[in-house]
Amino acid sequence: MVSTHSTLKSMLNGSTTFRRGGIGRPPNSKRTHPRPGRHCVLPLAASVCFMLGAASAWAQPPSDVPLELRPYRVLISVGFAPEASFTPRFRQQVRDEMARIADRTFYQMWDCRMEENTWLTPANADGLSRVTSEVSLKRLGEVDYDKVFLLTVQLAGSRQLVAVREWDAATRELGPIFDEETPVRRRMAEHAMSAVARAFRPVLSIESSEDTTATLRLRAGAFPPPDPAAEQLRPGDVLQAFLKSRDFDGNVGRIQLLRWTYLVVDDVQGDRVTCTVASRLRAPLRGARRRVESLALATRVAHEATRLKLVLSSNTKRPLVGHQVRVLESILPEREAPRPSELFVTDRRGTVMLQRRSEGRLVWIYVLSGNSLLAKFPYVPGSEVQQTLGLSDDSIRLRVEGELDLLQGDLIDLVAKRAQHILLARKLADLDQWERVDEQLSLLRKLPNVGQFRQRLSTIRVPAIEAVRADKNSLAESRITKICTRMSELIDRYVDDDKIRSAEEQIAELRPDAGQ
Amino acid sequence: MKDMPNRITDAHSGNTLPVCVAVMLIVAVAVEPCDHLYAQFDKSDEQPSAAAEETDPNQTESEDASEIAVEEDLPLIGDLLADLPTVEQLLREPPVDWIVVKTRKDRVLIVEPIENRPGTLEKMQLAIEEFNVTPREPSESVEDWRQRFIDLHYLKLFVVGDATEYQLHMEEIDRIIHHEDQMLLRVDALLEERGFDDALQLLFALNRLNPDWPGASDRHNRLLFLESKVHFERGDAETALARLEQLHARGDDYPGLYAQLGTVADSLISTSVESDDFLQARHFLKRLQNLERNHSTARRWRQTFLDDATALMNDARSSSSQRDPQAACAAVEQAARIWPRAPGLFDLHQRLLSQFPRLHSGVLRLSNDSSGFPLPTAVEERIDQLTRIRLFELDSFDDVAHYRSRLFDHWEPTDLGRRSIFRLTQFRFPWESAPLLRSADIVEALSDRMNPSSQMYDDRLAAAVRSMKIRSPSEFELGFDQVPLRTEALLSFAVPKRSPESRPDRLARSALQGDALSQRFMETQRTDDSVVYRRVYDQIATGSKFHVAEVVEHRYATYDAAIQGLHRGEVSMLARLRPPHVGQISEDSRFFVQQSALPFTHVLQFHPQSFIVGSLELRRALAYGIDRRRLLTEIVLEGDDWQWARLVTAPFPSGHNAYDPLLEHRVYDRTLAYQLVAAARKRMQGNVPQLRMICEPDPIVEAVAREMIKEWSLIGIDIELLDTSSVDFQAGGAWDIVYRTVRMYEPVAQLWPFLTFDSRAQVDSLVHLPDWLRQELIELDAATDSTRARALLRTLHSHLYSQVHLIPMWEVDDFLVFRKDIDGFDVRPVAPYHGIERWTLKPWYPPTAP
Repeated sequence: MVSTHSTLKSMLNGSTTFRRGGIGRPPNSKRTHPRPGRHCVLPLAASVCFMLGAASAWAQPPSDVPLELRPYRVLISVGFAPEASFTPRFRQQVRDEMARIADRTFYQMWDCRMEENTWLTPANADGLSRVTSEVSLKRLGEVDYDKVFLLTVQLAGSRQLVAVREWDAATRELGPIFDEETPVRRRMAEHAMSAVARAFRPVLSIESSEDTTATLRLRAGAFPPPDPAAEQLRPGDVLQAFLKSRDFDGNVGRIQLLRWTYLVVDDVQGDRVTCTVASRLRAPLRGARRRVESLALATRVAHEATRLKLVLSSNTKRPLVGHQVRVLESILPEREAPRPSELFVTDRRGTVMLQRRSEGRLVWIYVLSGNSLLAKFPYVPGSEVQQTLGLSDDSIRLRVEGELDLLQGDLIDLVAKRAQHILLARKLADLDQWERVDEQLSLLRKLPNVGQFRQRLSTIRVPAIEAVRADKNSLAESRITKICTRMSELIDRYVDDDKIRSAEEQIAELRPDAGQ
Repeated sequence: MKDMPNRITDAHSGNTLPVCVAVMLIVAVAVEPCDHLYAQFDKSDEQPSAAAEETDPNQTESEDASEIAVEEDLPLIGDLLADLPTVEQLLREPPVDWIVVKTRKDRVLIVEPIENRPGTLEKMQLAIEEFNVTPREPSESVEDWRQRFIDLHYLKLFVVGDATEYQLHMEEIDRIIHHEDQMLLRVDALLEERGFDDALQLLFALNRLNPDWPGASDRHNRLLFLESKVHFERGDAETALARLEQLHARGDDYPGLYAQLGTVADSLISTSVESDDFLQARHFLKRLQNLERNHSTARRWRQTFLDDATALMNDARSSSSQRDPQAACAAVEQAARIWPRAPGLFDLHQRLLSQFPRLHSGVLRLSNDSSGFPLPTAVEERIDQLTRIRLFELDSFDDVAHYRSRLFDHWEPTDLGRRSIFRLTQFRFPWESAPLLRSADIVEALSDRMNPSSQMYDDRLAAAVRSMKIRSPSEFELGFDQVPLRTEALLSFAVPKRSPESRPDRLARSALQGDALSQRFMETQRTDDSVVYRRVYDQIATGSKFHVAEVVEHRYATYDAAIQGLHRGEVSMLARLRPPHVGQISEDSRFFVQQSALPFTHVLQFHPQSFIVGSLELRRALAYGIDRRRLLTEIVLEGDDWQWARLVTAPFPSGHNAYDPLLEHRVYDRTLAYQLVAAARKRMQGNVPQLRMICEPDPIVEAVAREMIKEWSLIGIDIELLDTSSVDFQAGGAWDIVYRTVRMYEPVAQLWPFLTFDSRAQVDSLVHLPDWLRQELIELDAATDSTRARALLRTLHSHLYSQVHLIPMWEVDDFLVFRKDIDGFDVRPVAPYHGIERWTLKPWYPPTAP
């Protein structure tokens, strides 16, 4: 696991103020980090609104409070593995220390509360990995938090291992597991909070979007953290879009992840974020609908690689084996020549391993089948352990491509043989060896002609077209038609019988009895 | 010449003599005017010559002045000897004799060959003496008798360039240097200059002219002796010995011959002993003994060999008593190689080697040699088959492969093939060299092969196997995601060794060496030219019959050298015999020649990263530009008929049921190939880069590769044949074309790794192939019934050939040779050491002669 000690270093060097119970600020606490000028007023106003508007600190904030003024209500649920060394006193110390670090790191951005987890079994990284979104929803859906961090502490030999996983209430999605380990017991809380910071996925609201750009509003964007390293977003970060629908009563209904649609952060100005849209779909965010909220959640890369599995969309049990997968750092403009790229071939399970990029960058993935592009989509390698993509069946078209390759091979032979016979006939005519000239011309005439090649082309095209029509695969049909048309043009161009006639006429003029 | 005052005219023709000759004759008249000089004496007329009378005595004085002048035109003998005629002059120009005139300051008269040679003057003197003691015949007149006496004193001669016959009194002749003598003089000079070839040529010519010419034999002896010395000094002792043998045959009394024989033979024997070639050492010793039975050198070496052999026999007895049969057999074999006539050796040899049979096998390449060829070859296949036991092994091949297993007693598919239960054998035959494995061993090996992070990872196996279950220590079950077409092909691998700590109690100490748990033989000893493999598990003695305990592979540089080794008895089998030699060896009653079940297919392949992969025109040009028929006939079969070879269109055997015999062969067409190269060049902007080719380290393959490169150069493709031993392929040394031989018995499983140059069928290694072809291979890999697999394989066969992704050229039947002392081998072996654990071997004793 990659450690983010740099983030925590700034935390540790700061003051030791904390909020007991995760809310409010001790009267004697003092701010140690300067605030950016333009945000000086907003946090204060937000705090006032928040304090006044809420009977309880954990109550739902009023919906009319702008998103950027809404701090995250965070619960850190810490589970300790049943180890003798994890005494109640130790556990309490860890929680207290974590609360202090959270406060000085995020301050108003988070309203953080700590608790000891009692339901996660086993209380370790394995147990964490077994938690599903459904379990999370069941356990955490009722509680009134925006973010819940499930954190486990266990021993790994002489070292302490902390693992953390975030659950986001807005999207009801579980994030990946981040872990850190330390040999120093007293620094465990620091490492735990470092892992929490890494697991934290900011939430944004998509305010407007064009084909390739979007403007978003960042939750709690008005509360910059005291620690610059704890900033929610930076240019280059990648967000994933969600559509959250509500019923007439305003209850949350379906939350839909816009798969293969990402927003790459271009600029962050306080709470306002501008992004570039990268999607497999055309304009996926356009067309605002009533009662549908467009949200975005930052993508966090927790894995070294993602296993991407390609399957047949009509039969997901059938993997697409041996398909070329090209990975590019950016999208390839239309009609541009292919750039150097990483090339993979799907294995017998239809999978390829996509290694994570530095800082969790987005890549463009091109799935090829022969000379055709089967799919083109953006992805953040390392954001998931495995991802599956269903693609249409291209086998018939590919078979046609192979048969056309064979036909083209014969075409090459034919052209060379024609040239050979014509050349020889002309040479022999110059030498007045007319019997051998006739022999060459006879061989020339015996070679396959345009009609035969066209017939072969038809025997390739017609059954293939019928087959794809039966499958109702119009894309394959158009592609087959296209490559067959191209081959037909090649046949017309290179197997032109006029060339033979022209050569024969030229040779005939050279015959001694040509004038008679 | 007309102004000359002294002329002697030919009595018949009136021709004027050449000046120099005339002067000489005049000189003779001046000395003995009455009798000594006659011009042109014609005996048939029986008329006294008038020449003497015609000669004016008064002219004598006046001629003296001119005599001196013209005498200078005659060459001096010193000059002639200093500038002897060359070999070419002596052999090609008309022969001449030199007559050295006694009183004329060593001037030489050059005349045509004189009759009555050699010893012309001696013979004349002898005739005079005989005349003196023989009484006159009454029928002969006194005048005639007297005339005959006078004639005996005159030598008849023809001056070069003059058809007139002259006579010269013998007392005027100092000596005659005949043409043959001139040749000998030249031979002497040549011997001094070490020009042995020319000297020998002259001596041969002289021998043809006059076999008994005095001095010729001595010169020949001297030539042989000197030549021997020179060869010896140059390090060519064997030729030196041959010359001495020739000299000895001409006479054993040549001075220094005895000593030189000893020196040369000693050197040869010493060198042979140093190179551990005792057969050759004994051969030289025998040659020496044939010349001089009791030569001191011969006696010394006989004693040395006997002593060495005796010492080794003692070692062998000692090792045998210490229960070290390997050392004992090695010692006794060495003793037999050194001096087979050592007393008691034969019995000891038979006794030891019958209990620990050692098979000596002749090969062209040993394992792990320094050829540098980056792909597996038949050598690796041979060694793998000898040393490792796979879970399933190829047993026979007809139109499909048939397998057997040494490790399983029973395997049974259930659940319509989705599960298989394997029962491990719990019994080992006395002759077997195989471990008794547990289920855990095999399941662990399977797990390792299914672990993507393992070096042994097998993607095909991992995709096929769903579950593994150990039912008992001797039984396990595999569940399959998809029913495998051939479970045997899927599980055709050796079980790797676990850590020694995991099971030291169950295995013999020796089995813990090597890299596989399921080992048959293992390498125990290695030299530059040989490798010894020994059974991992010793055979259990159940009677007097012992099976092969050790295999000793001997390396030979060429196939011919290997056959010579077989004939000499150095080896008892050849792991590979080429078709041209089959007839010759088959006729030898000492050997069995067995045809292997699998032929070798010769194939050209292209490197996946080479630009040639992207040029269909160039690939087709290469295919059309090879005259396969000629190369096969002239180089591979060496003019033999096509009984043991065929042109093919696939990399797997033409006898396989998936081979499509109706696929049309590409016919050699250089013009078409040239057109295709032109098309490729056009596509590549006028430049086809030089291609780099590698080929298997085999003399025949290399010869074919060189010939192909010549053929391709004719169509405008420039190809360099790389020396694989000098290229570091791991460090990025690249090639474009590889020429390899392959024996593919299970194309459904083996075609994929073959095409991708990968040891395993990994999907990502197919990336260089077009998508449609890749999908065809994947479809074949996933086929679950044999009919479907065969149909797919035929389609692939056709498509690979059409698209020239490889160029199959021909397949050549493979043969093995066994000395008839070997028993138990398979009639149609699938590998050189097929079933070797069951082979028995009679000890082969080297012949005592030489």
